[in-house]
Amino acid sequence: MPRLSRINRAGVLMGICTIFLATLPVVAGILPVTSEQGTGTVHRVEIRQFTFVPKTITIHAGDSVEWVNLDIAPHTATAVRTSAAGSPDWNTGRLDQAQRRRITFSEVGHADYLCLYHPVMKGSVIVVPDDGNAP
Amino acid sequence: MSIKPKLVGVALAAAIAVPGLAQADDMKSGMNDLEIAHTAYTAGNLDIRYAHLALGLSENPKVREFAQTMVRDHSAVNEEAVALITKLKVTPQDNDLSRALVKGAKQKRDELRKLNGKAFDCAYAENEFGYHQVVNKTVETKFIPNTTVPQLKSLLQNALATFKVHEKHAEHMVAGLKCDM
Repeated sequence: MPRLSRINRAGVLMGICTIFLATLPVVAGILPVTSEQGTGTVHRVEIRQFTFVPKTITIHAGDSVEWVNLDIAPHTATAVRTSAAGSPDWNTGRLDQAQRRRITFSEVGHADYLCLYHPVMKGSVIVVPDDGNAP
Repeated sequence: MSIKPKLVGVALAAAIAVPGLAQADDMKSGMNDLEIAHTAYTAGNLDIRYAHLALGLSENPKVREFAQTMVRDHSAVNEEAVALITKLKVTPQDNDLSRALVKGAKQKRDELRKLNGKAFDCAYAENEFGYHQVVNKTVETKFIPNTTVPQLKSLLQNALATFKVHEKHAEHMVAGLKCDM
């Protein structure tokens, strides 16, 4: 197999990068983009007496929700929607008493969630565009 | 949600099968705080043991999920109890009620070990529903009113909230297993 010249190798690499960058928005549009760090407002959801308080929270895109467990029993806040692979779109993981975890929501939409350990516990995050007004 | 007649029967059967808890109704002399702490801790530990049995014998995902929750939650409550008695520098007192619970639970585990498949799942689920019903009633009507230490009372109240969720979860589990069919 003939070896590529240096110029050709650079061109192939450039092509691969171009294809990757071109498809990235498409991929981002399918998968919800969340992370544990954000620069928007942090909204608090308390987990107490096996209830998410508030049950429904409305935030701006780019804001974060921080779940804090005030119960003795461990809980999670886990997205109901799952990816094609079957894993939840987002998940705080196990929260023991007094533990907290923050998830940033970058996309506008409505995300239902529950506690994996106690599925009767349900909540919702409503993400609205950041228009400068309170959500 | 109303409890179906069969589930009421399950609860009564559990009360009979757990003679210690039936004795709680005769608490004329009253248990002290250390005895209450011991019995509440014992009841939680016994449910953890039931759960481990289920994790060893059941292949039903819903039953296993419930059992894992029992291990997780009762362990957390008992860890909180240990932290409290450590902080208070006290030693829980063994008592007749604790001993009766331990004896009854051993008999129940021996019965459960002889079962497998759906028979085990149903027996485990029904026992969990009945056990939580009876324990919750005892905690709510006997233990909490008779507890004098505020931190223990608070712990029992928080624990009761957990156990009531378990009772509901167990009720749904029993219904979902369709044990009569």
